[in-house]
Amino acid sequence: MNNLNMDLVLFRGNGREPASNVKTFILPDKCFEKGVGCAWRNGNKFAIYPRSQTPSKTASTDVDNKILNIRQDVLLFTSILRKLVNESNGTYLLLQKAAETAKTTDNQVEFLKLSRQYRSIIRVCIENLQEALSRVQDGVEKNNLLSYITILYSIECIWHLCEILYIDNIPGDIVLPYLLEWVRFHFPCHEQTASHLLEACERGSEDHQDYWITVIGMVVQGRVDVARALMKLHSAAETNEFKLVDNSLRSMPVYSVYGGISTGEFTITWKHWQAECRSKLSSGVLSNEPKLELIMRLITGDFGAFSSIRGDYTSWYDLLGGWVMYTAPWARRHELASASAACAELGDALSNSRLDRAIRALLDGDLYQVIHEIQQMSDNGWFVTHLTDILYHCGKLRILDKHQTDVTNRLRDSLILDYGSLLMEHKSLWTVGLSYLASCPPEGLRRAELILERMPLKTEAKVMRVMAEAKKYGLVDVGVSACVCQCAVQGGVGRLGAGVAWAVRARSGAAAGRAAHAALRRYVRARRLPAEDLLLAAGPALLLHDTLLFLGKYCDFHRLYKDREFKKAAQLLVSLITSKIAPDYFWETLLLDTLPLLESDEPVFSSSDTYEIMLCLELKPAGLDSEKADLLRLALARNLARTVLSEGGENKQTEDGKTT
Amino acid sequence: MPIDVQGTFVSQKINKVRWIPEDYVETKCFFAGSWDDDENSIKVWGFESPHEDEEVEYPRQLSEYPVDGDVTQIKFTEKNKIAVSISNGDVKVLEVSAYDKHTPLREVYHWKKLHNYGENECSCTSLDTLEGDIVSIGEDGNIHILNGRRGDVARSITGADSCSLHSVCFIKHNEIITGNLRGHMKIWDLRSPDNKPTASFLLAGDELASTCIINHPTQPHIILAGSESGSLAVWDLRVNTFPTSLLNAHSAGVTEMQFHPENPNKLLTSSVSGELWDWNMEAMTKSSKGPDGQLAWLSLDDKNTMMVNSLMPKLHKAINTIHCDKGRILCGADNEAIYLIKNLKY
Amino acid sequence: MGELTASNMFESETICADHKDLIHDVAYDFYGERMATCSSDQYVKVWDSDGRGGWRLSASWKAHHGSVWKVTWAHPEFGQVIATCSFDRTAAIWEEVGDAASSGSEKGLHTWLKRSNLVDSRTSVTDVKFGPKHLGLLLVTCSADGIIRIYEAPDVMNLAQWTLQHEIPTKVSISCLSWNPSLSRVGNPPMLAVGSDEPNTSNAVANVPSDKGTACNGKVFIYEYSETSRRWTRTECLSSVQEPVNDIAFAPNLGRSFHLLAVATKDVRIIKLEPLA
Repeated sequence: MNNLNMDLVLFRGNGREPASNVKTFILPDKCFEKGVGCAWRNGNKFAIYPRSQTPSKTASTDVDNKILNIRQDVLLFTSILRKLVNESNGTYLLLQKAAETAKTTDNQVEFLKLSRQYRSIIRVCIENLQEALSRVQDGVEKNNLLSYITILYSIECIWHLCEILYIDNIPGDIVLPYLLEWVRFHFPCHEQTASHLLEACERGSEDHQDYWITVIGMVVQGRVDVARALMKLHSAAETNEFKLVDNSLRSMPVYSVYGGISTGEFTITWKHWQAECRSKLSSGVLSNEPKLELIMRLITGDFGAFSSIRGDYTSWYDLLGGWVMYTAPWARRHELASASAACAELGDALSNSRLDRAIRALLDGDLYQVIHEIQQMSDNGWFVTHLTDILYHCGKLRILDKHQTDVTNRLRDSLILDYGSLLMEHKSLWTVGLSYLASCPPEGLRRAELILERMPLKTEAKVMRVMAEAKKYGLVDVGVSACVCQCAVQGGVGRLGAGVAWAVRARSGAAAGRAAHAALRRYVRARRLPAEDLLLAAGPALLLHDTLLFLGKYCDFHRLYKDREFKKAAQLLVSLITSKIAPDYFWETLLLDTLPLLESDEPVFSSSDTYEIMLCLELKPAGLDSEKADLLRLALARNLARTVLSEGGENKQTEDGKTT
Repeated sequence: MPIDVQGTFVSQKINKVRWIPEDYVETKCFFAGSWDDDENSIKVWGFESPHEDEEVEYPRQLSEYPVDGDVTQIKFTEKNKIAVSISNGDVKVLEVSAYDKHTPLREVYHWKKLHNYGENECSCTSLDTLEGDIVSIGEDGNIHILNGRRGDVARSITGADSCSLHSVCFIKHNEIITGNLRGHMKIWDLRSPDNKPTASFLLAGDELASTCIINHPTQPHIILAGSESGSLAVWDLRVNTFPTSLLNAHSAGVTEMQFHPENPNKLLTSSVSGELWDWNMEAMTKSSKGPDGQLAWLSLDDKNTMMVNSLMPKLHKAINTIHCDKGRILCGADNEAIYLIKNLKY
Repeated sequence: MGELTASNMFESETICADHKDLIHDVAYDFYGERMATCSSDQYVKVWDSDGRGGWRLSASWKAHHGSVWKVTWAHPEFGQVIATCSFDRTAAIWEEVGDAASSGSEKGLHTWLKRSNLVDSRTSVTDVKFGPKHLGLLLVTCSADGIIRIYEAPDVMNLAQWTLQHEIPTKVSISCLSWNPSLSRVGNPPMLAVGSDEPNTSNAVANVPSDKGTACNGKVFIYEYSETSRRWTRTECLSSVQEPVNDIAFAPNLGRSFHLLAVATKDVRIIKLEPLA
């Protein structure tokens, strides 16, 4: 919402170099050439129109007036990705709860569980996309799905590595087994060939065109056993050369935290083993078997050997596990920077994709750079928001600004606020967005308030739901405002009863007054009282506004009259007249209502009542035309005549009673 | 076997779910109507196990019927026909093929803009059915009795309420009860020609809407009403036309209630607060007979008299609908998911 | 793996406004579901969103006897109400009445009634804006002769009755204004920003003294209402803006301690206003 004006820069063409986060459009029509105005709608929607500051001198009839409505096309609103949005929202909310308890107890296990939950949600989403891909025919749709899959694969890959490096609890901090697992999971390139070959179990498997590339693939993925088994299928497996390599692979020491030896001791044995391998290599026995020689060079951590096979792999991190395994298997989590630097320089295929950069930054421990990279991904911030949040709660994130102040929580909050605001734009996903905003008080709630009150309310079911959500997060004003607006809407379509009901719900005197006035005016016009059912059952709600109270009482007067309780009806009418809360336009109606009662067989107005009515009639002459006024005067006079007579007698009696 | 909950995300907020009854086999298919989105629809879903012997079943979409507005209610008029109310003021009767559920739903009847503010749109908020008859209500405060067999409007009570109506239930063939935005309840005798209710009362003093009404399957004179506040009223029409006790139940509005079709002592309720509860009704009907005819507020803390079980961990979004068939409950929610709860004891 | 940053896509759709002359303003209602347009053809049109990305014309009427410069919506709590201002020296308040069927107008079109006509200005009224809801039903206008007028409807039910509460002379031609939407209950007094389109001849503005007595040659002024003196006073003149101002708008306040003001001249600037503690 607040970057509205940043975007405006585009249309006014100020000649300055636009900032990197500015998106530029070319306006299609000639009519936009002279000057352009912009009106913000809501969310990421706005209109631009050709705007002139000055009136045209000559009114031309051929003006081309086009209004261009522009909105952001949000990837996450695609039906299939909405599952990701909704499901991850559940995990996000659980995480916030876990973070609350983590304040008092260590909750890393819970965080790891939730991180895995996120990853499994991503996995399910990828599977859904793949399934959808297998069904679609349309080329554009296919391309879209493919690009979503690419995005989600990258997310899954980065998240997993991030989990290993920052969230998982790794025994002894020795990262190798996890790293190998990561490589195998995300880059399972030779696995299928390997299992085919092993399944077939035929001597002379080297005839398979991918035999060697598979064996070497297994070696660099650290699957030494598989590599050895494959080598056994070679027709020359019984030769000394093969046995030598097999032996070297078999005798490779493997570190285990629970193995009972210290890393120091392990390092010594391992270095010893590798020295032996090197001496075998330099003896030249393998010079006739270049593939076997390559394997030996790889397991001795030879940069040239790794470089020579780089071309067989799409990325440098395919080789990362192998590199660490054969150069520094004891590496701890935060000691991977040099390995990543080495791997990135392998071969001459220079790759600098976003995923490359993100993984490099991750291995370098530069989380700031990681966030910066993944923020640019076109997933509308889903990934950066959730990853930043979990890292923040795990206490693994510390971002400093240029003044060296810690801005970690501000960064996390701003990502969540943007993500939440984006979702609130969606007709259906607004409740999801709201739960993100609500987790970031106070600004989140303030934003929620602004967006929520602008939510179009087409049905009362929606109004009630918005009110329930507002109540859940303590946004009282939103609820009240929604009721008052609803009151205005109902009044607008002539549903005055519903109007009163909404005003009462809002506890808004002004709205109640407006609805009551509308009802009274309608009565004056059409002689029909709206909402009797409501008014007669409204009770204390009527006290919201004088006019509403008057309307309620007036309604009651009609009920009494209809029930032929003339005496009571008359009493009520007199009190309505004398209380003077009736609006001016209603005086005539009110005074004329006395006529039939004045002319009833039994007098129902006392003489003092009659005097009061007379007084009001004379004080407010404007409301009544003279003919009606005369009629009323006559009726009042007649009533006075008959009441004074009878009352006079009574009064005399009581006076007599007193004196005697 | 313990209760088992499986969720499936469907990319639509679900407002109504209904099992499609089967004659000789276990129900496999259901209707789901969506709401609060740019495009809404009624879909038919079918459960299938990916592998023959596996316990886990996932619903698959079999057909989709687009609807111009929120689906506000779905009720059966016959075994394979449903009456549907829509927020654009329409009521439709739709038929699902008994043989092939993949066949798109067929429109049998369509009452266009049955509820309206003149030219302006007005929501048809709910309906109820009884043996082929349909009663529909709307924000316009009107009641229409529709004949689901002939497709005509048998009777209209215009201006039945000055407020919007939100809940309706057939008490008997000729008697209905409605509830409005303020919790003002009215009982209507359809035989009487004048448009006046035979009884009217307020559900509670809080001026909140009555969101759903049902009656007891075997004792139709026992009525239950759910409120926007989350409370539940139970009363016996033979004793009083109005409720004598209110239960403070859910922490937000009651969205749907259903008696278990096989065991009328079991009641299921769902709520905006994301709760799905299973009640023991025996205790509840007892308590509904207030001591002196005064409205009494009961609280749920009194666990001795009430038996309430939560069937699923509290959801962070509203549960809008439930439908139970034997040991299996479907529920639809605002987190765009449908849940299947299995192994319910009844 | 392909590049992951396909630039975010935007979609657009075009509406032919069908005004017979230049459009001067487009304004969405509070919910963004209705759109009002005004033009030199003296007409105002109201468009309703069909919920599927399209817009349907719901009303069109001749509103003034001159170019209509601006159109603006009141908060929906006050009903369906818009205000317009024009070259004909007036501002007008319009209310939508009844349903489309009853009024006997063209089929499907709604009727807007003129509830009030504000005729105090002696020159073209260049902008009009309703005040933030929490201040009641307020309206501010500005005119080419540099006078800002603040009106109030004392009775929100009666749109026919507006009282002129304040008249603030600025001595320069004012082209646009914006209310600060921040709630006054959190310590923000009612605030207005106005922009001048006075051509940039140095002597034209150099003589305009601010209330503090210092001369300022900026084109944007901030006015604040003081509860104690019951007056609007100029509290700031933004000297950084020297070019004629086309448009001006406050950002919604998200609980910040400062205000953000966007000013459109030849370029666009975002200005941060920090209230004095």
